[in-house]
Amino acid sequence: MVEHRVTLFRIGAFLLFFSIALLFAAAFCFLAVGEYLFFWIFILCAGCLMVACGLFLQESRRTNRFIDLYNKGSGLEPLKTIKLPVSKEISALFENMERDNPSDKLWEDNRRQAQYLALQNQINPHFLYNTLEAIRSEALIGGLTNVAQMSETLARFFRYTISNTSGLVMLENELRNVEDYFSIQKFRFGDRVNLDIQIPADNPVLSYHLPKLILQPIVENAIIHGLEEKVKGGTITISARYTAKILSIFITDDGVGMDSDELVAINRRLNDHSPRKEGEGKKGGIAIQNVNDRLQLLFGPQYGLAYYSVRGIGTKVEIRLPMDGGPGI
Amino acid sequence: MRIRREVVAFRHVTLNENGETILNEVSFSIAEGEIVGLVPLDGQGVETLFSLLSHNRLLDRGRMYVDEEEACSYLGVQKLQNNVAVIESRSHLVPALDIADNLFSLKRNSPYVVNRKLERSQIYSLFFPYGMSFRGDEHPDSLSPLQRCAVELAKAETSGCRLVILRELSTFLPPHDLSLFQDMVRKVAREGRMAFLYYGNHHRELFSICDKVLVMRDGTIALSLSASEFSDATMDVVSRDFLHSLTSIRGTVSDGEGKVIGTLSGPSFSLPLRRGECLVLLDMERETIPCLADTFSGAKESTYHVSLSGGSWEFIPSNPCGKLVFPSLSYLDNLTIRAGDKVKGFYRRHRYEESLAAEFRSKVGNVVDVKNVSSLTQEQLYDLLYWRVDLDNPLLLCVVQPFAGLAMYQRIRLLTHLSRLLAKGISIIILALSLSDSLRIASRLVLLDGGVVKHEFIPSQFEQVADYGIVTK
Repeated sequence: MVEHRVTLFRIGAFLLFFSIALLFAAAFCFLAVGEYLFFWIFILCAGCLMVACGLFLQESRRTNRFIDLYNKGSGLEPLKTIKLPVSKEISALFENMERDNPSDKLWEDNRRQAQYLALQNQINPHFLYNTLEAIRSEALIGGLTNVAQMSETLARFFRYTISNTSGLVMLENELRNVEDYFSIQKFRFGDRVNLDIQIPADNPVLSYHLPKLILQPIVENAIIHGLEEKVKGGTITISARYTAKILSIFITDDGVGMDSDELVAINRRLNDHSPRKEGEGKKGGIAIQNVNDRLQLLFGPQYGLAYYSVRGIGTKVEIRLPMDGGPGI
Repeated sequence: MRIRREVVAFRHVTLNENGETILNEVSFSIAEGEIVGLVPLDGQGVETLFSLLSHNRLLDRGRMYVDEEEACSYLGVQKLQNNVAVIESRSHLVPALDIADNLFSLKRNSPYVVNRKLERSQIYSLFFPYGMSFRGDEHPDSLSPLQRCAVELAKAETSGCRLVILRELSTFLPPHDLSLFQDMVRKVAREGRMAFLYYGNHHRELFSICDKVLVMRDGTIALSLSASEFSDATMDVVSRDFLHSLTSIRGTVSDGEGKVIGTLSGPSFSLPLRRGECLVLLDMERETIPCLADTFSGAKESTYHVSLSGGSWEFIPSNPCGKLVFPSLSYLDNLTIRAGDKVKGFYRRHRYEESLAAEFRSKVGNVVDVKNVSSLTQEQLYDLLYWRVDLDNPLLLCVVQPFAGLAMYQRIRLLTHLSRLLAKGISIIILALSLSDSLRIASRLVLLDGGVVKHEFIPSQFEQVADYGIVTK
């Protein structure tokens, strides 16, 4: 890494020494041969110096820009791109920063955060399932089929959320989890909220593998910030589109939507890798950023979320994933 | 079925120019064979977006991908140029070369030895599906706009372009030709070789052809509508401010009873011109408008004639800022460029200028003190031109395609200007190839076909215009 970074630095240094050597040669020529040769060697020398200075200047500007980008929250990527780290010590500093914040550590942190955000409480899972099963039995005995159904759905939702959050799951399972989550919300909102999954059962993308708990936080956000605030309620639509390399999943709600400033702020926060602050849990809050971060850590910066929204029309979230990340296709 | 690839993708692209954010968190993608519409609400960032699609630049944030490979990002530029074609009112064919040379000799890796016979057969097979035939030795000047667009589309195909930008086709293609060209675009798109970005001001024009429509506002993509989400109701909400503004604009002015101030006559028609009315002339074949424009501008002798009883007319061409504004002069000098004809000694007496400056400061703000108008925005230049007409107070104003190139909010401003001029008693003739928003202020609509008046409509009959395949709203 260090070797690669200092390549341009070495070229510049070589040109600098070369031009100094030429300067000595020119002085020798001036003394030994005559003025004419001295003139051309001097021009060559000046040219080399200018090129060396230009290279140094260009790279130092780039270095400053990348450090500035890092300071503004663009993550470690700009630091990795720096080719002229000024000195060995600064180069070592960058490498230490990368070592202390490896991608897999960030991935693990995000995975834990996702689990935490989904549950909010560290409840013993078996205690939870048993309790829900007990409620269901009691409800069935008492003839409360709705309550029984609700507790069954809730148990299924928690089981999916808690178990094995590190692995990849099929899109089909994610959609089923969203349906479960939606059923629970339906008990609260009734017919005010509706879910329309526009991915046919025979669509090959259903067997695509993606990280767990990607869709549910976005649907939750759509209900809380999109549909809940709308008196008439509305519909959340989930659709998918794919090309040879990209799978895009769209989650659209016809809720209240948002203004341009709010939209830009949400999209900007998605790519802001500076530490999260308290109070950012509103629209496009920690859960959404967590989803975006996990996708980018796993697949790369070209993937993740993008928001589109207009007040009065609704919000659309595009989730971009790599097709080759899903062995099911 | 062949799985499509992504031709271009923007991910959270932000771009600043002169310290101002022009593109702000722009994300969208276009796949092979897709026709994607782009509707601007305020015009911000549209030009920069098109320029970025062709020439990659260092971004301030985000990344741009071409053919699923990174082309540029905030970290650097991987590739300088993209193979993107633009079809717009301006020709991109080389005028000195014939069609065959434009199609085959200019592309990369073209053969050194030209086989005319082979080229002719290739040209035949290229254009046969579109119902067109060329020999190959025609020059671009001799082509009609539809033929020129078809040749440019074929050129994009032969040179391996992956993306074609279609810019405001309805402003230079008459309705029938527009429909034919849209069929060609659909056909090429179905073959899946290229993708299209169709830029237009009117969502209905885009809804009829596009697979997806992007709505741009404040330099960001605010809305991405798939075909199943296309609806007038959605666009009504998007353009709520626009529609709300329109309600404050005075509608039709004349009921056909206004005082006749003159006539506009041609070889086969004669139209009376009434005071304070807005007459829209829609050319179905694009033959009459250039001749009428020549008549009004006085640029060429023409078979059309305007006679006014006791007054003068003014003429504003299409995209007028580069033609009627003098960049080296001050705002006030540009505004009063014809004042010397009306008020003797206007330029010698500074109190006139001072008085005018004070009056216009309340209307346009401090921009009236600008010494060099080259720094003004397009919106401010349009304001300048229409305030100049207001000041000159002619009997008649003739405008060619006034809404071409303007975003939704700029169109509101222009409609306000036109409405004010009408209220002042100035008659307006709009020469148009597409109706755009002209009907909002029109008193009469005349359809011209081959230099003949095909039909004349009064405001209560405007809805019938749709029967001619014309987008009316």
